[in-house]
Amino acid sequence: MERPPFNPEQPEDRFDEQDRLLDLHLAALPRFDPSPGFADRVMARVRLPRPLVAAEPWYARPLVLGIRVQRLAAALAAMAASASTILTAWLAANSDLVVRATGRYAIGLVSLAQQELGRWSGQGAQAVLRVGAEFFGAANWPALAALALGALAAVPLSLLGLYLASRPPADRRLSHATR
Amino acid sequence: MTSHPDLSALTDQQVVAVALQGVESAYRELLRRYQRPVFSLIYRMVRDRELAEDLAQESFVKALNALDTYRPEFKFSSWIFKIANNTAIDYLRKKKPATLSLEGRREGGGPEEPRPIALPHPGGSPLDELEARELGSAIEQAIGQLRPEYRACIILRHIEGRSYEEIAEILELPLGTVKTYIHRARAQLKQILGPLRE
Repeated sequence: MERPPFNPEQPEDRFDEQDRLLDLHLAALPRFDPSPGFADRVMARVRLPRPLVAAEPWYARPLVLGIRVQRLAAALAAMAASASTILTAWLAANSDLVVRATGRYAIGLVSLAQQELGRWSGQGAQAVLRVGAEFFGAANWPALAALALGALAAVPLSLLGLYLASRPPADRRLSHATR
Repeated sequence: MTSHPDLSALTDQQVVAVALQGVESAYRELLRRYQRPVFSLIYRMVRDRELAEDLAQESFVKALNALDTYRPEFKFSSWIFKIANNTAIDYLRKKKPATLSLEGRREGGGPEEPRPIALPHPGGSPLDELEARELGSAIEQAIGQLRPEYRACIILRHIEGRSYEEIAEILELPLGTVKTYIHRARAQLKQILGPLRE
């Protein structure tokens, strides 16, 4: 039998008596019961959560429940937060160095710009080198390296921690259902 | 365990909140509410009672153990139906089942107690009853011949009474696709069943 013409926007456009009867008979089909003891068999495999969980917002519950990925995420976020705190403290304690280094660099750039406005020649390149040498000569290299590494580590670790903390469980379909 | 005697008066979301406090009776309340529709859906999808029991059990265990991931701004029924449908579809994709009767008899397998399917005919004669039962059985068999996607749509729409929007959410399909599937499924059912009468 050929399929009737169909408009997807109006699936009921060919509603007729046979459709009405089909609806009637479909609606009359019964639901089925599982066998006795079904609930007990399910409950035997269900882990009841600790009462603490209910007090937590939904996004914090996995941490309380101890899901491995979420705990790892929390650890990474804590590490990143610690690194950021240490860096902030270090910067506060060594503010003079940072100000001096950045100040010199800024002064050097201004001076260079002034020179370059007047003449762009081999002397300009020498000036760039001179300013660069002054800046890098003044820097506390171990401290700057530690600063750079700390900053580099803190940002991605924070992002990774946040991503993992917000990530749904491994079962995509299950998590999708909670979207 | 805290006693919650009035759980039946609570909404699904409230029962879930109680369950997350570690109250076993709240879990049982959710099971009481959804074991029939979930089992019926899976039974009609896989058409084997024993297998449907296993898959329904699997669905509930999965859902109840992940209850903390349920977001109360969404319908609990959609969530549990989605898990159940995915469980059934996963099974059907992995293994194409043998032809089965909905009464649960595996072809070549051991016999199971058949479940009569009768339409309500108040005051009807025994002949009417018999005809109704046969028609119900024929409709069940016709549903069983549909593609799993069509089958799920028809069951959720016409037997479970879910809205198109909810079916789209459960099956993770666009609304237009759900409407198309239901239209095609109905056309196929009418084709298989032939002329229907009251």
